[in-house]
Amino acid sequence: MAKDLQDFVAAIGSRPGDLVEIDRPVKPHDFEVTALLKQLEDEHRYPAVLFRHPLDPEDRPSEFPLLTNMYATRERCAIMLGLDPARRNWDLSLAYAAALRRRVAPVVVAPENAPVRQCAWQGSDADISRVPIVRHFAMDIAPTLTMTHVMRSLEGIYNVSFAKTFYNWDPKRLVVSIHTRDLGRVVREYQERGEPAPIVNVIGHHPAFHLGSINRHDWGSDDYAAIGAFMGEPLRLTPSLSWGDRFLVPADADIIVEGEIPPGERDICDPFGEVARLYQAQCLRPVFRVKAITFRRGAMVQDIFSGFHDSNALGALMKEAVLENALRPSFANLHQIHAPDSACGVYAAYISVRDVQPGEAQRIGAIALDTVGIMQLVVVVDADIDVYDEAQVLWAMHTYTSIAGGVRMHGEPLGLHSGFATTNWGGKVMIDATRPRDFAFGARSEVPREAMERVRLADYLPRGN
Amino acid sequence: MERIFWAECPHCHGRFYCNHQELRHSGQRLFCPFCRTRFVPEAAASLDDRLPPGAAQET
Repeated sequence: MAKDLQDFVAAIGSRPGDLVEIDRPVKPHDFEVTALLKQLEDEHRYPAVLFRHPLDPEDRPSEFPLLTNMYATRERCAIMLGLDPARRNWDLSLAYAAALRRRVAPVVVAPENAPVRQCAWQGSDADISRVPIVRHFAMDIAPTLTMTHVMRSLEGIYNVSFAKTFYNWDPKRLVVSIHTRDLGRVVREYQERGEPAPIVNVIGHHPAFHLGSINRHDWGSDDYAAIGAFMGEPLRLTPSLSWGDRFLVPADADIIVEGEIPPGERDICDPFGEVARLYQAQCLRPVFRVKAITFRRGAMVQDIFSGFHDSNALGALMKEAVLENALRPSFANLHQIHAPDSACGVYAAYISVRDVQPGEAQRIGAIALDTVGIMQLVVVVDADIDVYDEAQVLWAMHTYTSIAGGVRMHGEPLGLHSGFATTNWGGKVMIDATRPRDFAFGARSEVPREAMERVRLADYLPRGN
Repeated sequence: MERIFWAECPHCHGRFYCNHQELRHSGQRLFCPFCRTRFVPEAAASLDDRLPPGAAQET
């Protein structure tokens, strides 16, 4: 049986602390969902949250439950990729990196065998206002759908990427905020022909589908095949309701919205609180005209709590994996890489190396910053520094780094026009925080390993402590 | 980040920011996220499009 969201939710429901189900009605479009998620974050609790009875943007009970905060722990992300949750750190990054290198060809099934085609709203019935849509942050322009979109290039290549779709209180006319390279390219292809561009918003699917959709491949790579590598099985596709087999859609999705981007038609969207905890500035983006909404029985709508733990892991995993694939061929002594929550999983990487050689930290930093354009800080540490423990990384910076020689700017700052997702005006910095080896330097204090193994805390603490 | 300007809604006086290149001088109406009023930048109760010290002024 193909993987789907329903089974995944059932699986994590059996893990303590991983799923909270809320029966009380909530108004997602009136900040009630994010207010609750923020309070959980403030208590350092990161469960996936399933709102059983959300209202739609017109304050009517929606028939779709709303699932959010799914990606807020690396443990759950590990489960999504079929790993033991205990392998949440570097093993998870390596699994993501391995999936990036693989492709699994999709398979096509008939609509009658596709759960996402079990129910359909078409024409005047295709009313997006019947779906619960979250308004996340105070300055957000409107309730916003935050999951992945699919577009197909004129040469037949499918691209799947996260993008935001704004509900501006017109159920047939959304605005889609496209910022990714490949979706932008497809939109331009159709615009140049003067033709409407088909677009599909996948607002519910097995979470590995969405994890895979943030892959970073060169143009020409089919994302349906790339996502199959993350699903661990061929992604099942089926003809869309609007375009038939000219546009295939994920057969096992919970719910998809089919629409078109009319050539040249743009409207206001944003602000929206982005992954960097900064608002995207108001701007003009393509209009998304809704054609159909198809869904399985019992479908759930998914959302991302952007700028908090729910988006941090998504950003971090991709960065860690891309850097592993870029660096490992040249640096066999590479140990681990982590993109920390403090930089939203986006802007910084802590990279540990065994037996670092002179100049190696700077070379690693330069390659990392060139490989991930959005990255602005790389700190290279020794392998005995745990890159997942930010206090250790900061200790190494404070203790080992030569400010005069170990901190370097990389390239020129990109300046004010470097894009919404760039802080610090796009300046890139690399820091060598490895212990100096070219002159007599102190050593970090350590309790003897033999004593650590011989004397076990549990044997000495009073019972119950 | 990109160059932005802050606008104050003439109706509710909520403040939000916009992409300078796309919206400051294009004649496009802004959309207040707080009260849904549409207005051109010149009708804003106040605008702030200062550049940081030393930055070149856009034409």
